[in-house]
Amino acid sequence: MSLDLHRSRGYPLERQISSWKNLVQEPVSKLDDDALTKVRVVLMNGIELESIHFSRCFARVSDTEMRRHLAKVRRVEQQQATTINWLLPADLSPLETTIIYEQVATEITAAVAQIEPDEYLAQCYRFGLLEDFDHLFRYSALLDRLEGKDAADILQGYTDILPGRPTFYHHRDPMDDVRNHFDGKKADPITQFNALTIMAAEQQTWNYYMNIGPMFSDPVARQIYAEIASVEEQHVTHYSSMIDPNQSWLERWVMHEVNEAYLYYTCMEQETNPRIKAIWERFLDFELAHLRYVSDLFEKTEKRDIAEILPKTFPDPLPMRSNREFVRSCVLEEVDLRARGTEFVPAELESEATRKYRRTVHAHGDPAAAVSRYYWWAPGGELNRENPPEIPADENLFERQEETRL
Amino acid sequence: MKESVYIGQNKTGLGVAPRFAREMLDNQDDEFKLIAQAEDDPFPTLTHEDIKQEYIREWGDIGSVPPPASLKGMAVSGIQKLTGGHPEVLIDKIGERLAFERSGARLYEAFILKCETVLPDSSLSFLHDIYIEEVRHFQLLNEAIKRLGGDPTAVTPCADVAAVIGKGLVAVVNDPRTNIAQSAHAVLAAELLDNDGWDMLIRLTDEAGLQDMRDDFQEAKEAEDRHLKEVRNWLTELVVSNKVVRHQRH
Ligand SMILES: [Fe+2]
Ligand SMILES: [Fe+2]
Ligand SMILES: [Fe+2]
Ligand SMILES: [Fe+2]
Ligand SMILES: [Fe+2]
Repeated sequence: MSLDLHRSRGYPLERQISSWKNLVQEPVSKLDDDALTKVRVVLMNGIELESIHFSRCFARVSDTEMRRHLAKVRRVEQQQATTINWLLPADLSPLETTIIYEQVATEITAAVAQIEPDEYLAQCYRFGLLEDFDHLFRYSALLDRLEGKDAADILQGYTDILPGRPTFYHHRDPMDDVRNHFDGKKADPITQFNALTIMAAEQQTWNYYMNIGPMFSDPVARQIYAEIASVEEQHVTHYSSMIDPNQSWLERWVMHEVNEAYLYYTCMEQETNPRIKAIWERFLDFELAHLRYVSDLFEKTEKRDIAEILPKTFPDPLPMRSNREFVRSCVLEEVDLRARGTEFVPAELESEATRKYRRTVHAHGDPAAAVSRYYWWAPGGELNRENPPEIPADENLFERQEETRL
Repeated sequence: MKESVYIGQNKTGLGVAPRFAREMLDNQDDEFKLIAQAEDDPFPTLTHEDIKQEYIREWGDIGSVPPPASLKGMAVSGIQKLTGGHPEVLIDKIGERLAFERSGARLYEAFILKCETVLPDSSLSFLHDIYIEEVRHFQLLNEAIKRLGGDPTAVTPCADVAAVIGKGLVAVVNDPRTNIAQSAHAVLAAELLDNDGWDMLIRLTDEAGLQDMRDDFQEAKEAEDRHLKEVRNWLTELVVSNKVVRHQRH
């Protein structure tokens, strides 16, 4: 896309506020919409929530004038988050929505891991990927055994239901979760986008699990949400520590807005549901206006040219698709990696602090292991394991995302 | 979990704090009624029913019945003709039963576990029998959908709706705090739905002239009749005696 990020103005900020009616649009269909459409909905909700979270942090350390600028843009971000999050339909149970969250964590992290130019950071993504991929397996077992549902109906075949690094091993001492950060002055723009994106996705997963955990009556589910929310806390620590702490607040704000814009562009390019595509397109226009607003503020306040920090055009869209082969090969090659300090090491080199931490949290057993004990996915669910339905001979009943190319 | 219902520290109801209740009513004067409505509201008569009606008219549906995995299979089975050109109704409804029986089997697993925990030395074989029948029904419905050329792993719209209806049942039975009678109430609700669901399938297969399938479903329905009676009777005994009593076979 030949859009000039230094010049484009977007849709006027003053006109970006919607009515309640327009915020509450028809949800996507759990049955008829493509899984990747729902992946995009969940991802973009996370991106908006991070833009709000960031803006609040910035406001805390700002003067009244800057707080006004932040409040003005943040109000729109909150409406965007509402519009997007409310696209999820009410017939998704919280556990089914959880499956979408872990599909996002799997496929988007896998996509990012493959385009990340910095080898250390790519390793960080693969490391986290194997854990969220495993969460997906544990939650799928829970969904099958508690609600009698097959997670494959949510995943629509894009993502495997297989173990990754066992959740048992995800728990580490906090000292083993903080990573090295990139240097914002030298890093490729895509490196900065990647880190912001995955941090945002993990943060909203954290929020979601912390909110819905107590909605379950089943004590095993309550324990699993407690356990995996704790891993998501580690993941937020892991991913947010990758980000350069030396950038100015305004510079970070610019990076947030351009990343939002980039991801709406990414979603718009790949969306198959025309109604949802129109939302991505509209919000891309919103973000371009935010970017203009903040770029002007940056130039005025910091007396620097925006071109110093902002690329002139977007990188290629982030590919949203099944990453089955990549994920499987990561699992087979790196499942035994563990984290020690900022590095990744073989299992036997884990720190004593992590071993001790793990003994403490697992003192009464590991719920993620318990719920998936002897679990193996079969089409239609575990109860079909003896007698699995055969796969239909006629391939591809519909034109799906997997057939469309970027 | 406590086994029986008892009188305790329940704090709901106005009777728990009558003075506060009187004070709350004292405040209900006209001044407050006047401020409830914003003067500038441009839609001063808009009601919640209006908003709901607007959405009912505007929004689409939950979703569709998936296309048959094998159109050829459908032609062979003659199902197209048999169902008056609307095999999707039958597939939707069989899909509903299939999902319900699968979830029902999980519901029984949870219920049996709770019963075994509370009544370790009692005979719960009737529950095990029901469980096995629910699984068998699930498999029977898998076969039925395949015979109609459908995909038994797909979620049909009615299956999806049934899962939403069943959410509360799953929550009640899996709560460690609900007693056997409270859990049995949820199981009874499931059996009631189950029963009517099988009647519907018999009616649909009857009309489509799918005699073999109808007979299979009739047999399943007879099992469901037994489930309903057994659960209903046990629940009555549990409630009437207000303690955990063993189930008597009838
Ligand atoms: Fe935004
Ligand atoms: Fe996760
Ligand atoms: Fe995660
Ligand atoms: Fe924005
Ligand atoms: Fe039954």
